[in-house]
Amino acid sequence: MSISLPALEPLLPGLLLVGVAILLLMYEVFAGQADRTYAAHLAVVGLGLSMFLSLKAVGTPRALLFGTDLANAPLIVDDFARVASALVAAAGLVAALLSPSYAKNAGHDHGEYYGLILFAVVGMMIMSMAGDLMTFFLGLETMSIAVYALTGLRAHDPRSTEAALKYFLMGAFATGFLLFGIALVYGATASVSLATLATFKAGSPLLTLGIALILIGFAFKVAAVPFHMWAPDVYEGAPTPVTGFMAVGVKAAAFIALLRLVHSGLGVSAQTDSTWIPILSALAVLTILVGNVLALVQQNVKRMLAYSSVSHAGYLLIGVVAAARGEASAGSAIIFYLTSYTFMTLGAFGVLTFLERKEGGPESERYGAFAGIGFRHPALGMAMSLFMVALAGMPPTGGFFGKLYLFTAAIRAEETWLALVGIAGSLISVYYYLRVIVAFYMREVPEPGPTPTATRSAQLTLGVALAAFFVLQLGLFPAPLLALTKSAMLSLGL
Amino acid sequence: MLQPAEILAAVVFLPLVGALVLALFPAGDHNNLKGTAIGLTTANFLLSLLLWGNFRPGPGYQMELNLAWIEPFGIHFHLGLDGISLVLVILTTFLMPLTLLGAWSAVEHRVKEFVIAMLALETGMLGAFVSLDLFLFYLFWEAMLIPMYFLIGIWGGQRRIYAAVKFFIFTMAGSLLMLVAILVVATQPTGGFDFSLATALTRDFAPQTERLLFWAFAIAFAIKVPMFPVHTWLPDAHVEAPTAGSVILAGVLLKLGVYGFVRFAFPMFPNAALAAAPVLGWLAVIGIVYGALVAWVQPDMKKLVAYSSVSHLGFCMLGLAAMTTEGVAGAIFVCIAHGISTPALFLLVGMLYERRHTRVLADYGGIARKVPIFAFFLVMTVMASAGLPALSGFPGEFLVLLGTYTSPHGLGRIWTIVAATGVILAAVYLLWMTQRVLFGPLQNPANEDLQDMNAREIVTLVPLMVMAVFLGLHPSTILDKIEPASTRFVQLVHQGSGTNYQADAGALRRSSGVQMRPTTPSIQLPIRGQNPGGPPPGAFQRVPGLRGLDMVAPVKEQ
Amino acid sequence: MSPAIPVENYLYLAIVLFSIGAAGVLIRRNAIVVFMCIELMLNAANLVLISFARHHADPAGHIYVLLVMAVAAAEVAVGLAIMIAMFRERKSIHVDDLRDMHG
Repeated sequence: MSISLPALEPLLPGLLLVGVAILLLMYEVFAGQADRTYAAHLAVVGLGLSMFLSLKAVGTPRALLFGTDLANAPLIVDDFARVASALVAAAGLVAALLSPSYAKNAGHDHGEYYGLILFAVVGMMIMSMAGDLMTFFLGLETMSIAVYALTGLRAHDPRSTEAALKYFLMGAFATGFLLFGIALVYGATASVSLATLATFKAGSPLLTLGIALILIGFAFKVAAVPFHMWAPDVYEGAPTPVTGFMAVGVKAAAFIALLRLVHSGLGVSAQTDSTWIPILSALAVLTILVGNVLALVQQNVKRMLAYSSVSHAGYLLIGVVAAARGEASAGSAIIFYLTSYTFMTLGAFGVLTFLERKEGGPESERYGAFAGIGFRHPALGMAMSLFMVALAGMPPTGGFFGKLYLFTAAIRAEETWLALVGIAGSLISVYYYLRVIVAFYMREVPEPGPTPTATRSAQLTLGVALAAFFVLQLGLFPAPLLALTKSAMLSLGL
Repeated sequence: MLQPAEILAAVVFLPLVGALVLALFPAGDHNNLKGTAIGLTTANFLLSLLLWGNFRPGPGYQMELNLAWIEPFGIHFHLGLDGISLVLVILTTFLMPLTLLGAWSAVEHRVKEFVIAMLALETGMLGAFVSLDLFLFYLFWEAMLIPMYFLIGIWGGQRRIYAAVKFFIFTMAGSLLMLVAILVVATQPTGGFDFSLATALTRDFAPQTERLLFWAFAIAFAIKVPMFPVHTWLPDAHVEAPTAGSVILAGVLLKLGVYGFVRFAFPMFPNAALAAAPVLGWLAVIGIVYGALVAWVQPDMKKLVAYSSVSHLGFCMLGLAAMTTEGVAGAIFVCIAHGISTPALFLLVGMLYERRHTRVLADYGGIARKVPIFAFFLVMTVMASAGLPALSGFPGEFLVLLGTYTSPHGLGRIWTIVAATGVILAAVYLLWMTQRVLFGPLQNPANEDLQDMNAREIVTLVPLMVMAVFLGLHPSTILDKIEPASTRFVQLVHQGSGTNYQADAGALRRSSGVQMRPTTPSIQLPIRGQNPGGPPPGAFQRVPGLRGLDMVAPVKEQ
Repeated sequence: MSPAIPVENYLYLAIVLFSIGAAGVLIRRNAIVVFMCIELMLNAANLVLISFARHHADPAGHIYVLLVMAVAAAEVAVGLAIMIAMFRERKSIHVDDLRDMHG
């Protein structure tokens, strides 16, 4: 097999990011004490370009790399992969925009930071293109190792290192499950290819056990209950922009890979083997309820967002159940939800980044610390209200349309009860999302009020504004994204 | 010149555009902000009068604007009016400038945010009244929740956060149930989606499914109305809300619940609605009496008015449950009348509160001599609210009682009797309140220096009083607009469920002797396929009984 | 494929190894030991891959093992770095000492 350069063209969006990342790492050797804002700019340009290239290629035929057919090609660049790549690139882009002022504030202004974000995005892209489980594993590890390092980047903050160690140990543990599952599937089917997996209709015990272990690995990565214990601590301790990136990017990549797995491999066995639907449903219900109830009792906003992100994984699992039932629209619904979730969550973390205080620490993240912010920083208050309303799933935001799409898919898959559970979860979530708005606008402000540093920077403002724009755009004019998700799912043969 | 449909869209979105413009104003210039907002809402009121002028009598939707919006989901930007929507739209645009004027001195801090919230709220309410697409309706329905939440939570009283969150969670709980039902209705058996109301009206469901869907909608709307027993958020919200919030809440927001029943819940699920009508009717009469009794014992004026709203809205729901043209038209009329008298009451209570910072009845007494203008307005308002003939409260309640008495299902007479006691109780608690506030010896020395109403306050109330009198004397002004739509509504429900309403109603009428015109049955409903000798399907006749209420204009038919 | 030892036996051994590793992660309190247990889990997977590669006579399985080893090495690098940072901060790498955040 000889590889000619043009054959790599479908990978250009990813290769470009690898190039930029290496450039950033190399330059870091010579950079000395200089300001690293240039690194953020370079990363943003790279991610933007990569996103553009991915989206531009949507609609072109599927490209199989290093293989001749679906059964032996490790990388499949179809519309599904392209849309997913654009999504994770967008997540990386907004996260990179949120970072410079935070990094300067926290005193860890390194060029490597952006390099790591780019590598993580590349890993996510590989996950979305993976035609076999081994490639998927490599993508996952590329992403995970980069994110472990990002989490621990504030090496002198005990919370950050603690979060990093917890995330690392739990992540590696999950990897162990995943890999063992992959090995068992390989044993059962003599191949790791998803397409081959799809031809095995009746699951042998070995195959069933393998898929179960893979699912456990997934459940860890998306922080589904009961595999969610690590999430709150990690989210609280990680640098705020990284938390945002982790909450959306890792989740998006994992769900997108799961979607491909369900639609090519697991889906077939799910329809013949009735064990998966109840297990996935139970996972979804538990995740929604536990995530929401625990978010309710949090006093720290970052931690609340962590638990709420657990519950969002639960809503997405509803979509996975519907997809496993063979509902064609479930996949587009998941991609749509992930997109709007990306923007609203990154936006919320962006606002938190804005309000981060120099000294840091958990005190500045409590609800009370935000009293009166809505009036002192009107634009910031409006943006935060928008993100909270969107996360709660209210119109006219992308969060609402995403939930609507997801729950409709569940109803069409005749899983109305799951939609009802999702709705009940959303209702609980309204309470704690409102608490943020209450803190921002309705609490008495002690005089003189707390004065967050309000780290202003053009990049941060742009990041939050972009997020706000897309949250509204997806709520009011979702048609363009709907078309994209549709062509993504069509490329999977649906 | 704008097309009527474009005027409709302009009426809905002008306030939102105004809010965006006001966001650019400097925050410190309070008078400018308030003045511009009042100017905008007044302009919007005048614009909405064009809708009134363009409205042709008839039962269907008019001035429709139907634009493609989210094609893959069958979602359209579809606005349109019938008579019921029209009067509620006018009520909204009419109240808005008065509310802002009334709040001129009450809201002194965060003025910019206040006017923006009010204007955004107006767009939400207007949009909900004229949406003919379920998705669009839901969007407006939820969107108005947020500004109201801010109004209560930021400018409210001591327990404002509790009240605001309670308001939000209650309403949201109902809305989410409704959302599931909307999704089920919009999912077509063929596989696609269609969120348009017209399609929803044609769908048939299995009886069990229909019942579930109906209750999902009904609970959402019942919370908003609010019906007993899901009314508990209302007193909290009213007591804690600033005057402007209370005025809009009572004046318009509650009406959206009633409107939802009329536009969506009943016509979409006629069988389930008719089956549920006895339950709704009982809850309505319980609400009427319960609200009145609780209002009677309230020491706090605002709470008293809040519970009186529960009682009055019970009449609206009773009229709907009766499922007769009189009942439905009466229900809408009660909505309008309540939307005039209760805002006036809240404004008056707010004026007292601004001066004395107390709303406790016992702190007042005998202030009529100190504040004669105020006393005059309060007495007028109370009489209008209590349903005295020749004032706006009367025709609606009368029609509801009439419609209920002649209702095709047998419970009508019992309901009428119980509800009639509610009318009496309303007079009792309102006059009791007036007496305790205005008359008797002036005992509390703090009331010695009470200032009477100033010019601004008088200007705020005069339009409301004029309307109260005008609608009392000449109810056909709006009954003419409501009636065809009400007839069509009753028709839709009865036709959808296949009951021969005409025969039932006729029988009831003869036995009860409440015929308005002895020679012809007062309601002629064309029932498809069941009434070959009657008017062609879709035709409809005037209900003479409604015109008989006009006190000034001669009744032409007789 | 050596006929003497059936592939099932390798599989059982791997499952035992994997279980020991997983149990160790849950029981042990020293981060380094926990990490070694995770490595044990990965190597159990490697054992399965290599034995089935022989069983299916598919060379790809061997390559997968090499990939896994490379990935594990990268993971070790990052993991140890994090543990060193942790040790500098609190002079301990016991996971029970990770209790700055709770709620």
